[in-house]
Amino acid sequence: MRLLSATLRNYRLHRDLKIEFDPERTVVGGPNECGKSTLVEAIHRGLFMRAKVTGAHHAAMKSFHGGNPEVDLAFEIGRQRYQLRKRFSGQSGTTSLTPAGGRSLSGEQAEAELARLFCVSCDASAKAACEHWAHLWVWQGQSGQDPAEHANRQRDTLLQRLGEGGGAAAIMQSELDSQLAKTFAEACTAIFKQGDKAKADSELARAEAELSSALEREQSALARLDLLKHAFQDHGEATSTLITLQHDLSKLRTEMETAEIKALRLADLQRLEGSQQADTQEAEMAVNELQRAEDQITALRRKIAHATAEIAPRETELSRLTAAAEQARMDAEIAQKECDAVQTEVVEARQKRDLALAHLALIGQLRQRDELNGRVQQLRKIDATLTTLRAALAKLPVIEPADVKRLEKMETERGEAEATLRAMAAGIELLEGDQPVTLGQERLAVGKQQIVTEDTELIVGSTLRLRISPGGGSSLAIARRETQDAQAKLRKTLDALGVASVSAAGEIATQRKELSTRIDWETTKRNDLGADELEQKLGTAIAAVIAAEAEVARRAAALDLSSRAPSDEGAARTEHQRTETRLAEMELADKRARAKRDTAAKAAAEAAEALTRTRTTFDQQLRVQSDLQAQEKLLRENHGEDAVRAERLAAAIKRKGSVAAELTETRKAISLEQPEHLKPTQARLKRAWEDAQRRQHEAEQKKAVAEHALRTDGSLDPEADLAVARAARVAAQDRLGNVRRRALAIRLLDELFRGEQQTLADQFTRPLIDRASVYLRALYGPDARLEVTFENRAFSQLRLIRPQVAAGAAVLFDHLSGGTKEQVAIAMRLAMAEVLAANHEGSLPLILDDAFVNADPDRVLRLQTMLDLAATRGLQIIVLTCTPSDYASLGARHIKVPPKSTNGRLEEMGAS
Amino acid sequence: MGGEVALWPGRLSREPSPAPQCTGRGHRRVRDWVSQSPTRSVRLLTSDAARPLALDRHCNGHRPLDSPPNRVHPTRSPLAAALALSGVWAFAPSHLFMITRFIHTADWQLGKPFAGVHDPAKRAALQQERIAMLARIAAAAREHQAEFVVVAGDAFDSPHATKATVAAACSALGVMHVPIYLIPGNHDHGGPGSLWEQAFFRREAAALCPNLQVLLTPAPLEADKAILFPCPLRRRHDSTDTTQWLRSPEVVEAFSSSDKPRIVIAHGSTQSFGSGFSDDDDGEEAGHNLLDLTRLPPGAYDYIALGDWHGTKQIAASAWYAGTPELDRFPKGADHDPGNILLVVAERGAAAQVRRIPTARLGWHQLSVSFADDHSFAQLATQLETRLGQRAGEDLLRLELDGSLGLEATTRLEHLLESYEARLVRLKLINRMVIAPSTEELAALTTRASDPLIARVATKLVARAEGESEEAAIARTALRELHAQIQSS
Repeated sequence: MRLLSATLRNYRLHRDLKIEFDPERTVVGGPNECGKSTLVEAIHRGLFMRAKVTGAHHAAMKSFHGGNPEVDLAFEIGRQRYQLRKRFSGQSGTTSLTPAGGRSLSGEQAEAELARLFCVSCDASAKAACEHWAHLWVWQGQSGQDPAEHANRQRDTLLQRLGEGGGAAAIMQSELDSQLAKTFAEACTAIFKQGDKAKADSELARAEAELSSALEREQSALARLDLLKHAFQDHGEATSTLITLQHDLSKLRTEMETAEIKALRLADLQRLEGSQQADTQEAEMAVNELQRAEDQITALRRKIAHATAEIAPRETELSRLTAAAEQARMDAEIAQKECDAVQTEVVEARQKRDLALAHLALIGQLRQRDELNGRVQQLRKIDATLTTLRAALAKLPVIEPADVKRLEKMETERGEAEATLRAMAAGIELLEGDQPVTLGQERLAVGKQQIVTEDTELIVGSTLRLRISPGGGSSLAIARRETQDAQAKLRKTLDALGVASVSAAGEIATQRKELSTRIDWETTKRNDLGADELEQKLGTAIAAVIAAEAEVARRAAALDLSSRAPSDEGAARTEHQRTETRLAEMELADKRARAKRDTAAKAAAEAAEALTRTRTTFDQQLRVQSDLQAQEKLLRENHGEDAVRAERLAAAIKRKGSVAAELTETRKAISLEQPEHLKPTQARLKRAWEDAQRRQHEAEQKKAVAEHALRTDGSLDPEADLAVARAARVAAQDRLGNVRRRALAIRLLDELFRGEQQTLADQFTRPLIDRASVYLRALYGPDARLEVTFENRAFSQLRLIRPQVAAGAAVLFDHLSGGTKEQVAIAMRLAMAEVLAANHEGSLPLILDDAFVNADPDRVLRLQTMLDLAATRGLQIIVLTCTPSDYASLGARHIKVPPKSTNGRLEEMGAS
Repeated sequence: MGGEVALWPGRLSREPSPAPQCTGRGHRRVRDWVSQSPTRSVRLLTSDAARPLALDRHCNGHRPLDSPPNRVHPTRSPLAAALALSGVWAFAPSHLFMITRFIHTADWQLGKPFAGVHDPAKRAALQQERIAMLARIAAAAREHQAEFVVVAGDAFDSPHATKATVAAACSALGVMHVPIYLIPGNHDHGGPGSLWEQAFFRREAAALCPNLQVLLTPAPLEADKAILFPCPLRRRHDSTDTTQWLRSPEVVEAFSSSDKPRIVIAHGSTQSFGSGFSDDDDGEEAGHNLLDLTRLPPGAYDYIALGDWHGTKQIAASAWYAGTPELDRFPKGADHDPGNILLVVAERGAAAQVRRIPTARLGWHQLSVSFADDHSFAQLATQLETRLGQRAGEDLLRLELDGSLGLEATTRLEHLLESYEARLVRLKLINRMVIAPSTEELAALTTRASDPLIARVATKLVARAEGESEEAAIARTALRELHAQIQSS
């Protein structure tokens, strides 16, 4: 069926509008509100709304131009053309349908024929009529609607066509098919949740729970039995350990007893050894004791013999020494007497010499007294000289050599000043002249040198006047002044000293010096005479003379012989020498006598000492001998006489030998017992014993624990319990196996039924989907395709698959973007139209009213490809758009609806 | 030799000898004893006291006129054999003859949990049956005038039997009224913590079964009628041979002057059967509790009462496994003969005479079926009917299924099994059967023109159902489910 033209009169804003359609592609352009959508609606109403429609539908068609709306349509189905005119005037509305070359139909007949031609219900209500061919009318704003709804609306027709198209018309599921499918689906749902999980109240879940609890019970029974088995094993091990230990312990006990016996035996032996050792020592001591006594006696006897032998010569010597000592004593006495005689003579000689000495001293004292008297006279003379000299000195002025020196210094200073002055002054000497020469005021005489110290006029004669200016400037004046000062100073000093000149002063000073020197010399002479002590010395000398005289008198008296006093000193000295010589002789004799006496005395003493010593020794020897003899006697008394002692000693030695032999025997026995091993052995056995006891204790404990664990109260037979639990588990497993197998069988049935249903559904949907996919490929590339679910005789879940989008996953229609929705919907509509076109002689119009508002320009271009393809495949494409330029490349007839069109024909824009 | 007991009557009955030939050692003893005093005499009494068998002064037996034809052992020790015969009872001073009759039993497994039985009531019934079995042993002991009972281990299934089991066991043992000599086996070993040590057991035993003597140590015990050589197990797995001590010359010489028969009581596997002879179902026994009876000194012991192997089995001239008196598991192999106790007549120096007495009550059946087609299902039903009749609560069945069945037949099989599961004390099902829809069933599923979906699903399932994998099993189950749903719609 193709629309050929449409004429609208008094239809809403259109007063009179006629459009002629291209049989394949038409683009109707026009601005907004120019009545494009009204045109689309008017065509639909004309085709499907009964002319006698009233009420709101009728009112909506009415034009404000007045008059009843009329729609004239020309269309063709196959080669048959039809002219349809409807006048919507309420109850009086008219319909006329005129096939080309055929009889014109009107009224109900026409309406019925239309319904037949368009395969719609003739009796549809006005509201239902509005929905006719909804899949071909893409109303403005509805282009994105889910096309599955349209498909469902056309389901029966569509299914019929699809069935014919797929060649599967015969394969429709029976009622029994559906019933069984439903039964298995329900059974499966009752068993399984999502996935493999069984539903809580299902038989499968019960069987699983049963198995799980059976397993649990089996595990617990097994654990209980295992516990018993382990306890049993422990018990067995402990028991066998105990048996072994019992054996070990008894063996150890035997060993320990053996060791103990050995220890006792050893102790006995050691005790025996001790006592034997004591015996041995005792015997040895006895032997030693006896031997010592014997030795002592022997030694004593030897000593006694020795002492006796020593005593005999000592006796002879003693008598000899006694005689010698007597002789020496007598010799000493003689020497003593001789010595005493000499001594007397010495005393006498000494007294004589002392008298001579006293004489000599007296003479000396006398001489000294006389000398002192001479010196006193000399002193008195010196004192008189001194008095004279001092008087002469006092008459001279007091000018000291220092004063002279000072004066001379002044004189020198004055001379130096004068020399200085002279050096600066000019000397003028008149050597020869005939004319008077006056220098200054003074007249110069020949040969007399004048000194000029200041500018002075020299007048020679009367004509010649010279000014002489000496050098030195102002220094000259200074020099002249200094010279004057020195002169004055000297004068003043001389005046002070009371002398006329310096030389006079010198002379006086010399005189004073000579006087002083003489005074000093005399004074020194006086001092040398010892002026101060002289008188005292003289007194002393006089006293000494008196004493010496007394001495002489006393000594002479002591000599008791009349002595003659020597006449002079010489005689005295001679006497002295004589007596001195005599004394010396006598003293020598005395010395000799003394030496002789001392030698004799010493010899006597030595002889006496030797005697004493020898006597002492002798006495000692005698004592020693007697002591030894006493000791020997005592020993004999103590130890018996020789024979007895010898017998005793022999017996003791014999006993010693036997006891030692016993001891050796015992020690050998001890060594055989190996005492060094005994302690370690006992320690080792003790250790082993304790360890075995400990292990025994442990094993007993282990056994007790195992016994406790093994003790059952008989309320449960764990073996039987396990057997029952195991059987229950096996049964539960079997049951679960059966139940699961049945459940899986049911699920398999469900799956197979659903699969087969799907296969059938696919057979229906395939032609539709294939067609739609062809269109979509024009938009989205060669791999794009569409899927739709056909279930319970309904289309649903339209899905688009594009390899480049969402990783090639199927995207539900509702989840697509607005633009894509529009495009997919159009593809489906085109596919449906294609399928359904078979009912309308291979063609159907598809009217798109501003369908692609959401498409981007690129997509619009590709949409044109799609629409063009549809047209190529036999559909009539009518596009109404406010932007006709978008469809410039469709290659369609373009028609423009003028704004606010009121009448007249639309102007054809010409096909591109 | 094991069949000799059963043969006696026949052989004896053929023996024409009018009187016992008293030539054996026992005979000499009797003769000596009799000759010691003119007042002494000997009478042989049959079990029927009214028909005594008199012996003359030479101790030759004289058959009473009304006694049945002689029953004299034809070979050696005719007198002893005569006394030993079933129905003949030595009433004379026994220490002269010392022929001992006793019951040898083992492997009672009291308190066995039967964990594989999921129904608690049935489990309790199985356990209870083992206590009830003790009453049957008591009855047999009474009937056969056993002087004592020997229990060769595993009286209890566990060394930690519950109080209830212990009390019930003690009560049942007390009823036997003859001495019971019991050794611990591997299941109820006498190690530490075992029930034998428990105060409760001791109290209960003292109160209820003073006739019970538990032999916990390997030491000879002189009982009234025999010398016992117990070889108790002290742990579940003993790597040493518990009969080792019996080889010692001191033990061999012990009580050598006594004429009482020497009876060994032991529990474990014997070398002659190899380790594979272990009769424990938990499979832990290999290499443990091995008994080497060949190393016992020849002639030292007159009878070896063994436990552990649950089938009755003679393994040497005088060595027997008594087997369990009431089955506790499905027998292994055709020659496995459980469910008996042994009546033993032993004499010092002579081969023991052994007779088995059946005691089992519950039927333990085994059936193996391989389904070739859906008809074989009907055959199974018939077989079960034949074996089990209409009984309930008396049988156990080990049913091994193999082969494959169609969907419909599988459902029918399930219904059948459901019935037997309820009726039997236990249905142990080893199901290796594969559900294989029949061609018709397959066609009905996969070629449904009217239900294309079902047909497609079924076709896919059929493709998946091939093979042994779990996926294939799931697919088969799915087919069954689909089939069932279609059937019910």
